Amino acid sequence: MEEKESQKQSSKESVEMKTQAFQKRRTLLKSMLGFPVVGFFAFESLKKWEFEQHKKNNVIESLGLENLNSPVPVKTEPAKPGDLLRIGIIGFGTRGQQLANGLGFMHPSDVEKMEKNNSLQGWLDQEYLNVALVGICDVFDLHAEEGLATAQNEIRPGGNQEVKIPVKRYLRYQEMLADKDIDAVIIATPDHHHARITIDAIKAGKHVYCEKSIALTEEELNEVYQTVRNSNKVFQLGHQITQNAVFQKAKEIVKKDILGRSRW
Amino acid sequence: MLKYLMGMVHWLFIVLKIIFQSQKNTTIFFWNKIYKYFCITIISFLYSHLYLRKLILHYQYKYMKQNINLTTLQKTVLITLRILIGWHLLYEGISKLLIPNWSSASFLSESKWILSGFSNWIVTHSEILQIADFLNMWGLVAIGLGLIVGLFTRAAAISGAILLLIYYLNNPPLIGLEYTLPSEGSYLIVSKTLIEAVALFLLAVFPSGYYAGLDRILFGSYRSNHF
Repeated sequence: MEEKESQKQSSKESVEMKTQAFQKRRTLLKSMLGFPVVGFFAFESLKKWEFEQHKKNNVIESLGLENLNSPVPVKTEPAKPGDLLRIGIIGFGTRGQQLANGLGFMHPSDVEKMEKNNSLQGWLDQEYLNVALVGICDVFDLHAEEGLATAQNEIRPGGNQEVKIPVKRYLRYQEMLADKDIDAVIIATPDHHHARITIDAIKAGKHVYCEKSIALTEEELNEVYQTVRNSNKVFQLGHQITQNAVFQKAKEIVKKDILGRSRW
Repeated sequence: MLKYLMGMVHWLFIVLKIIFQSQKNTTIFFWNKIYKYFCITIISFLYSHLYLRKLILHYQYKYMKQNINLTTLQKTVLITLRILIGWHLLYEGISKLLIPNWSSASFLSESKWILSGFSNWIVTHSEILQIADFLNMWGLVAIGLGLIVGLFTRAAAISGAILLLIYYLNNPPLIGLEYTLPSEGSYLIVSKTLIEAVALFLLAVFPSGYYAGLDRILFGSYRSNHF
């Protein structure tokens, strides 16, 4: 009898312990309920992300865009010392300012603005061109002041240059063309002045970079053409955006008939 | 002790303000305003802390006295609802994280009803907009994860309900309000956002985390028998 009772007690205890363990396992299982859901969520979101990427790549593959050759940027050799080109700008409006930025000269207030945008280093990394801005010609005093400030600014790509040529301001372009200390001239005036100033500059013996468009009438255009042909000076018209990588890519796309045969 | 610290910090800010006043630095004035709001919330919390504690304990006592026993089906439905709403909010949060430069400005600029002044204030100050974007994205992720996994479900549910109420009040489908953001379905006064907010309130008043969730092992399974 006693043995049976003790056996019953021990069996009761073991049953109790079993249910306790059972309860603990159940509690653990119930509390871990959320984790497989999170795993499933991660799996599905990854699948969705891959699907979006695949859709994007599908478009590129079907159009054959991944076989395009990206244009390689041409690196010119740095200029040797002694080849300093002295440049004068005729007309220092918005375009004149942008051209000066391209040459490596920037107005101090623009430098501050770029510093705030963290884009100054991108401009400073541009190639150093061995040029000096020596003359600013503008009839508008405000623009001329901005031009002088830009040309005299010491913050430049390639660092501060030791050779300092004083910058002169001219009111009329004839005065600038008469100056012997200027080798080349950038014409950034309004369009209707381009032809006349180009002709006078070539005749005065200066190299010319003229902003587009070159002339308003056919007679002017022919006169400019004859003048430039008969001289040995360098002349460049300011069509620069066709050198942009976008245009090269568009040219490739049209050549490979990716958008269908184009009819002109 | 805390009050003395607060006083010293306050004097420090006054000194900084005097130093920087000559430079007319606008960011200092902005942080001054934020500091004022911060002080107000901290002081109100310090004074109301005891009352808040009393409120929370009162409701805990009420819940503990309740001793409801739900059937398995009822518990299953509650837990399923909790997981589904958690999944929804988690995906909303993560999809906003994956969009580069996502901003809530486009949503807030359409606010026309009660919260239009508040939303306008957020949108016009870019620093506050950054804070609001951050809180939205990571708040949704945290609430979604908390609801799915069952960790701090009550806090997640209440904060999710308040967040969704704010979304609803910025975009309520009332008569006379025209929005440029197109929405599907036809709603009058009651929109899906409002329904989800009230569903989250439902999840807050039922202890779904204690039935099945991390709360069960962390904060005691005995509570599921008392609530």
